[in-house]
Amino acid sequence: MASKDTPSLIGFDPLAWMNNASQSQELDGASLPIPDTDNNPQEVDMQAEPGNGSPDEQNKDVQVTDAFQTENCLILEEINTIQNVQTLFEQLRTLLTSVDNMEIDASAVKTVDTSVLQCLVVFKQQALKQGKQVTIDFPSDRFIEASELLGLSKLLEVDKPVSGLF
Amino acid sequence: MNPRIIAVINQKGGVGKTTTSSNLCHALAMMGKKVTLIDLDPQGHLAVSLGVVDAAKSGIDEVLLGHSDIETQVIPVRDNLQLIVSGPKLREIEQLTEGGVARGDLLRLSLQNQLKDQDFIFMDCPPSSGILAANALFAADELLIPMCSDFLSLQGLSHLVATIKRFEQVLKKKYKTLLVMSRYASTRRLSKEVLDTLLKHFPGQVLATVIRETASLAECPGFGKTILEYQPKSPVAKDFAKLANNFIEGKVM
Repeated sequence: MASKDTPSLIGFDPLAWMNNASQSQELDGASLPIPDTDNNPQEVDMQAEPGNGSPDEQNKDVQVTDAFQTENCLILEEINTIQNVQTLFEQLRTLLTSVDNMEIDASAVKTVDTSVLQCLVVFKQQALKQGKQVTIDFPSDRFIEASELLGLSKLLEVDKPVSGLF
Repeated sequence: MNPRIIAVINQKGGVGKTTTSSNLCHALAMMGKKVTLIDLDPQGHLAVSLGVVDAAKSGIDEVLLGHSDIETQVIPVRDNLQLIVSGPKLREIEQLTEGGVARGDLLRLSLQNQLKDQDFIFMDCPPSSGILAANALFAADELLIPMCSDFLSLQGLSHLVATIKRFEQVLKKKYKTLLVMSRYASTRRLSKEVLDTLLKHFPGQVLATVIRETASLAECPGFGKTILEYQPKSPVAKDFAKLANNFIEGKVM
């Protein structure tokens, strides 16, 4: 990868989840461990100062997402893909530095791709490392389905009994 | 002798699946290995790349539909290299919605006890994760994943790995998986970073030779030639010759 002085050209590592999965040997196993980020640094540094990340992160023209954000709650929009993951990443990073207990409302999600799920996983891991709480509230069926497909539902703590109640 | 059955697969388009398939297989054939190439992409570009331009020629489509056995569809295209084209009906098979899991097992069954004189059977997969790619994953023992050096290829690889892991769980088998870095531009820092990322996540699985980005690789299909015929002394032709050696010897980075 790039040296410390040179920002990486890879904003986040889409394959980072493989390390997590390989530790449990089962992609969708119930015992996906939280990796030791001290010994296994994540590709995404949620605490990185703006300007230390990829060139895209420094882009002042990042479009504002439709996601609604209160002090400690982020509401995911319907479509969550690689096209808007950068904006989500910025919002999550802001959330991480501002509050201790964070909620992500996933009730409206109709589409979510791997990049967004990976971003959320890293976010949860970083929050846990800092002793903070992240709850994904009211995950939609589509969110749960995508999470399960990638074996991330346990890691994201979303499960079927919750879905559809709200 | 049972041939090694390899799926050249990546759900992302434009990463070099067909280029890798045609040139690597020709290089292997030139080394004396007996190779059969199956074009599982309804676009039929593999056949064109090897100089077969009869769009109406039947191929693996008829095999998957149960109308023909696989050896009937073989076309010799070079010394030691034979091709099974996609065929005009392959696109219809991609749309099949009936038959359940059995739809994914058609190719594996059709390969049973066939082509036993071959050293390798390569399947050039379509850039999708539909029923044709599923057939390749059912039939294959080994996967060869071409990668090009951009971010979206990494993203596509992430999807592919998830798919592969699902198949490994369901089929209860572990694929021997190798990656090949294609369209590599040594002057681009991103190329190096993507390669480093691959080496981090796939240690011992990236073939030792990278295929350099060059205009001639894009030109040679237009002449129905592989790079080993079109510009045999070019650096990229040598890349593919080395890659073939790497593949046989299992030489990785």
